[in-house]
Amino acid sequence: MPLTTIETPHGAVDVDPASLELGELVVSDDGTELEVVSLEPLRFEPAPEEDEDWGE
Amino acid sequence: MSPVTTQPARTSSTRIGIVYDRLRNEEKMLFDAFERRGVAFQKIYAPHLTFDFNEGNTFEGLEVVLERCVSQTRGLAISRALTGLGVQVINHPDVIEVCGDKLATNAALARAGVPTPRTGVAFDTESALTLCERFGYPVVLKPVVGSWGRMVSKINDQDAAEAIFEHKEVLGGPQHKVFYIQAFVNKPGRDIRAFVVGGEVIAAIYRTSEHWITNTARGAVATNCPLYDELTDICRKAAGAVGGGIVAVDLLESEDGLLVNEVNHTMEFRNSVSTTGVDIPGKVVDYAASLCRTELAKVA
Repeated sequence: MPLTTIETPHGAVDVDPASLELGELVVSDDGTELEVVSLEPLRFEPAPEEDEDWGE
Repeated sequence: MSPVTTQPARTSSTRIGIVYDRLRNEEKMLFDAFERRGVAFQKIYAPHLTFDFNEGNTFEGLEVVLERCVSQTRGLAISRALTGLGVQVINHPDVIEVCGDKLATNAALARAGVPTPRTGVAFDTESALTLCERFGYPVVLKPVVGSWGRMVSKINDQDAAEAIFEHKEVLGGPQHKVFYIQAFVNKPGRDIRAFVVGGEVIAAIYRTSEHWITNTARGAVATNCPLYDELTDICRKAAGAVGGGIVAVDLLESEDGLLVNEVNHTMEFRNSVSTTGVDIPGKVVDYAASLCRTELAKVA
């Protein structure tokens, strides 16, 4: 699948935009874990860190 | 592939939704299971959801929703809201409420006569120390809300207990002032996790670690645990005690037999499908489909 480099305020990510899902995590080239928060337009936000109520 | 929507727009034939926030391997495996079965479903990204109770049921048509949020607080709120609108949610908010609170879980198990490690609760340092003395050291202190082995402490003696209780009393929030204490069970380097779907125990794994905490999230290794009568019986009782649905039961092997340690309501199973050879996400999807009142639409 063709990867596209997308610049974000938190570094660049190489992704296949067509296969991304909301809530998916990607790591930018500066090591920031980003979450896909919008598909149209495609938008990433720094992923929330593990919270006290997270789990199974 | 089913469209990703943030609101309940869907084809008229979609009866099942899956609500999630962080897209883990488990959610991807569930999406894949729906697609393999050709069952139309709707992906619902929880952070974008809104509910307007004055607007009526904007989820009309959805009969069953799988709640898969990594945030327990969010998952419980969504489950409550959907249930209020007449949608069947797996798991029901009552199940999430009980499983999400270790004290509530223990109370439910005790009421149903399901064996657990000796467990107690105290509300200040002095009474917590008294409880520890009664149980005998070492004891295990757990937050009532928490997962993945976070902040679970093995307390070997009174000095350590005093230090931990004081820190929790001074630095912790209100929930940390509820001291949930268990007698330490000398398990054989492993525990058991069993997966229960709609009252059926479908698979189990051993979780083995050199560390006394045996969560796979903390590095424990998963291997297949063949099902046997004692195991399936106690798991069915434990699942029933918390209200049923889809749960993972964690058990300890003790000299007195199996003890139920925890019951989890949003089970993770990424390490357990190839380990057990059981199509766990497929079983989950089949169960969700079985709860639909109308015939499910198949997608090409």
